[in-house]
Amino acid sequence: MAAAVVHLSVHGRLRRSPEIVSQTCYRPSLLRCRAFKQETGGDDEKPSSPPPKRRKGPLYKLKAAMQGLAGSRSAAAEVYGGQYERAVEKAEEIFFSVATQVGRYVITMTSSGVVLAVGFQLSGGDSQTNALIWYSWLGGVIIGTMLGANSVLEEHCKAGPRNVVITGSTRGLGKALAREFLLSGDRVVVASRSPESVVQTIDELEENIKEGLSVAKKKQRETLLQAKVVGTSCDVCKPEDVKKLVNFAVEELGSIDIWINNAGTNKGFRPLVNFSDEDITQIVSTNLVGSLLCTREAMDVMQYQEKGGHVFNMDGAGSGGSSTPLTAVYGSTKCGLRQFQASLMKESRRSKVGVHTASPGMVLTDLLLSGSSLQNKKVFNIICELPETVARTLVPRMRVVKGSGKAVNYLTPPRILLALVTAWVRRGRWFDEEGRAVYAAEADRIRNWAESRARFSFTDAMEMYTETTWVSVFSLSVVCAFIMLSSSGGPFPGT
Amino acid sequence: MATVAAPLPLRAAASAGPAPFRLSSDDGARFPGRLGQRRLVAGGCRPRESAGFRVEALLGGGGGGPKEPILPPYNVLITGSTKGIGYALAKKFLMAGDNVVICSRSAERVESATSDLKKEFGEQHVWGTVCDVREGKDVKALVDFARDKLGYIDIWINNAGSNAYSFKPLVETSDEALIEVITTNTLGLMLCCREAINMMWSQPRGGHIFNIDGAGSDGRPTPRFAAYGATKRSVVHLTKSLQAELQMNEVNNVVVHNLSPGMVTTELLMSGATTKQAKFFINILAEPPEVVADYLVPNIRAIPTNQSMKPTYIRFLTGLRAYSRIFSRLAFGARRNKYVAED
Repeated sequence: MAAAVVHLSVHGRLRRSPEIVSQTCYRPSLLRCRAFKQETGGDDEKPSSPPPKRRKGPLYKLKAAMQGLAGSRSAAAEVYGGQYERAVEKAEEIFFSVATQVGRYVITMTSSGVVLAVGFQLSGGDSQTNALIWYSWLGGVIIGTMLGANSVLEEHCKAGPRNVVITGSTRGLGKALAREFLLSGDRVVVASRSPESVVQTIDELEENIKEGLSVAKKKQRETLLQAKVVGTSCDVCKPEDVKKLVNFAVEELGSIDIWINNAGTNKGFRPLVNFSDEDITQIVSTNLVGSLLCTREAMDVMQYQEKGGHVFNMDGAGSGGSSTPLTAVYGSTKCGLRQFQASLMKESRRSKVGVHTASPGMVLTDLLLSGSSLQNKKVFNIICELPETVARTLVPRMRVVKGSGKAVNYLTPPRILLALVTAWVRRGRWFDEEGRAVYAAEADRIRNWAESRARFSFTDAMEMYTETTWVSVFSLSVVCAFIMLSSSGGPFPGT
Repeated sequence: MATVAAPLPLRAAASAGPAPFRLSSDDGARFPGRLGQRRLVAGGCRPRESAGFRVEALLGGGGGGPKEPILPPYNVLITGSTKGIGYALAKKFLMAGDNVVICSRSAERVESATSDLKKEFGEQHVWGTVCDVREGKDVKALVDFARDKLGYIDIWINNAGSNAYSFKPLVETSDEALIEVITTNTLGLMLCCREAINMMWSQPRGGHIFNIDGAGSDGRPTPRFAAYGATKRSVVHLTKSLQAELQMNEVNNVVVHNLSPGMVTTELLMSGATTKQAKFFINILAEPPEVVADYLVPNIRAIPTNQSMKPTYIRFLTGLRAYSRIFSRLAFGARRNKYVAED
């Protein structure tokens, strides 16, 4: 984490410095106007900054309320017929996009305003420093606008179904990922060791699609109709099985856009000496041999595809390099995978295939829960999530991933912060005092699927800003801090 | 942030920073009879028992019984030691007066290596047996062999490693090569570590286990041998986890260390000397196995000699050494064409 921050700060500085040098001849007041023009030009609406500040809260509440209404209204809408519903839907859509834009704008302005104010406070009225702050602010705004425009373009490009292969997808997170991809209108191949569970999973997922179709609105229905699920049995540590899976996927879907190496196993928590030969062999061959074989086969197919493709390897405990006592075998395979990923990135720099990691954080699946104590479960209450929740966050990011070497994480800093802040509220969330599970079984959870998908989530709202706004605000503040430090280093020893 | 991710971060976010993986001490339920058993087996010198006893015994192992100091000559076991660095290490240990068990997959090579060493150092110092570290029963047989010939082992060096002697992009690597690399380097190592710990905690002298790292251990990418790099990274991680595990279970007579030989001019490395870059670095940084063993063996022997029970990471090729060599090459053209012709 620390390394990443340093890295980013260096980039921020480098990026900004030429501008600072080249534009110092302009007057600061002039630049201030230009900066505002830039910002408003990037957005669709042009509200002056004070009003939206007050409007933002109510806007969001209204939006949430409307979505709630939309959920409960669907039955009534059927009776009233299409026209009214369509009008409301359209209004809602426009309203939401307006709200999003305004919210984004407000957040950017307020946070950069805070940074600027702090900067001026610290500079102590030195005009040259003030000028520098304005320049760096302008730089931040320009970069932010560019990033924002980029993400908007991406959103347009992401239309169209993807062909997805997920290994180990008849249980836990893999299944949740498959379901989420299907509900985004993609075509999914499920694979697992046992043929029976593959058949069963396909049935369940098809049922989910049907349910989704029954509650879907018009636009959603179109995408959902493209969804398709097929499956085959595959033991990832057998080379011939993996080849079979690849051939199956290509035959059924034509090409493979996204391949997710999700199959992984742990076999409980205990010291290494108590693992049997078979356990160790199975963990190593599923986690390491399986991932390597699958990655190789997937890359082999994808490099000849016109659009290339993306391979995701799942992170786990130990990926970061921290020790994992009682799961030494699992941890070291996951740690090895991270290194493998780094090597692959170098190897495939010029190829069309992207290799990425996906980190689901802590998920309430058998992998985690086998052999966990009461004490652990108390912590799970705070930080764990249901597989569906995690999949809902990961899948949209996996679908639009570009380039190579990206990390798709669930536990991002805002989420961790939120979990910490609300730790008290989350006490009995999944397990009660005696460690009994209090969350609904999978089938029940899925029944409420459509509703929970539509519900507005605070963390999602925070997430919306992370990629674009936070980056620009952060780099801006780093530049400010740098200027502060460098300028204060000069005069102080003299005086 | 770390506090959040600390407990049980199976599949924890990479961004969550260092997350030491600890089950709390309340975890007694998973180790029934933890406290009581410790008293029972406090002797620590109980012979190996059935699997069911292992937990309790492990928890109590070295828990305060009469501990004998490790005195030279040491009993050393080295896996994969019929050629390359393993052989050089065995030779150096023998020169220092220790007893050595050597082993490897091929019966032929074991035979010839053992007879060579016996000629040089006498009959009663070296023993050889066939052992494929990928097979659990082979490793168990190796332990029995060592116990039979020497009674106990002080230093166990997990040296067996493979790269399938191929340097290719992953996409071109064959199934067999991938599986061989992973099963030898990772699975073999885990089985050996398990048996070594199992053997050593019951010895009154305890013991030291050394795992040999390799390219990629530091997390730096290893293109053209991605699988090898991944397995070697997992070696370092396994060592770390085992250290934590042993500490947690209060086993204080067995220590797991890392050993880094740097680049050694063995078959494993030289088979990759095909690109210009690789030749450049091999000429500058690599050393013959004898030179590396000359450095490593005294350092390894120093650990039991000093009665040290702290985990260590012995490195031959330190960063300083590497950079000074690169500098002298660039400045004075030193070591050009030392092992392989560069042009």
